[in-house]
Amino acid sequence: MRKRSYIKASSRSSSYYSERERRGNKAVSLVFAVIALIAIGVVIFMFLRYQDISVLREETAAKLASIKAETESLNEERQTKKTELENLSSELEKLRIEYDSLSE
Amino acid sequence: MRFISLLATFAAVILSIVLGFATYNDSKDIDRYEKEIEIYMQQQQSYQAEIDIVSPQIEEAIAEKTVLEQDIAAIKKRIIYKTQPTAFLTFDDGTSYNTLKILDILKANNIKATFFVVGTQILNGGSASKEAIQRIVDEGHVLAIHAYEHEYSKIYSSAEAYFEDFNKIADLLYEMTGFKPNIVRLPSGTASARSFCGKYAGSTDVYYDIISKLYADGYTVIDWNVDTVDYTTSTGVDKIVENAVSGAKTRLSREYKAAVILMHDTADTVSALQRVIDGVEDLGMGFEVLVKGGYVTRQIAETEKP
Repeated sequence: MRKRSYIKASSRSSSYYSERERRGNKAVSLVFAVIALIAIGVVIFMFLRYQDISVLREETAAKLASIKAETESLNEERQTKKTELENLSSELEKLRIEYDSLSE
Repeated sequence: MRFISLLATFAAVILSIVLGFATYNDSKDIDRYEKEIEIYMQQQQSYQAEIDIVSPQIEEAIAEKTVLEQDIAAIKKRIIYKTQPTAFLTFDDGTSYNTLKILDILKANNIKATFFVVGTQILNGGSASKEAIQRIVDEGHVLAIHAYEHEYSKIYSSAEAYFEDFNKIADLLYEMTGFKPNIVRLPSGTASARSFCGKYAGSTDVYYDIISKLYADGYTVIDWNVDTVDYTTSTGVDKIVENAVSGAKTRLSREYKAAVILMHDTADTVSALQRVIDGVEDLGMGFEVLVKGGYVTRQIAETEKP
């Protein structure tokens, strides 16, 4: 009888502990789940930020390409004008010599 | 559940690291691009500054080249007259019915001439005067400016008075033909014009004000070096012919064998013209028109006050 009561008490205690353990496990799982959710949130945030930065990078690259092309075109214009001025100076020199020789 | 959470957390950490790294790389690229953009913009400013310096120099050089080319062309043109005897028939004070007859004679001889016309004469000469202006242009002669009113006391009383008269004739010719001539002969020629300015304006400086402004505005002032004296009826046809031919002949012994023959829009000139043409041709001279940049003769060479 005493043994039965012990068994009864023991089974009651075992059930009591497994209940606590289950609750504990549940809490830990919950904590893990929350951490996982937070981590997923961080990933989503980082992905969105990455996307923003990626778009900004593309825009900046396009702006750079456009400014580079403009600079090259301006450089060509500068070179053309310098060449034109050099040619004109040389033509003027010849014309001045011709004018002086004709005026004599 | 815990395993899935752990796995998700682990995967999230790995993904966060990858995304963080990629974001960092992109940020570095952006910084690099922005620095390059800044460098290119500085280059652009430097190039633009050079272009801004060179462009006006080019414009100046082109302008100088144009003037030099014109001057050289004019000198070459004048040099031609050292060896090529040439007569320039010029008719002052038209247009009128006489001008039509002059044009007929020129047409029959296939010769082009220069007409220094007077505004009041054009307006008072009726349809013949207007027809003459149109024929001068259509038949390839040169239409040139003489005056609107041929009154010395009025036009030489001040530079303003001269240009008031000048603008009236220039505007009238523009209305009639669609262009403004660039060859001018001062009424009575440059030497008399200077004297008249002294007499009517009180100073010969007015003459230099007039001529320097005409040149500044792109006009060429041309006198004559052979006078037929056809402006007075007392000269007569024979004398007109003699004056023209002997005057042209004297030019043949000069450095420039160019005779700018002064004639007027008179009946005697019409009668003398064919003989003048024949006589000048017999001297071996060809005929040309006066043009800007071509042969110029002036009694007063200076275009600025000496």
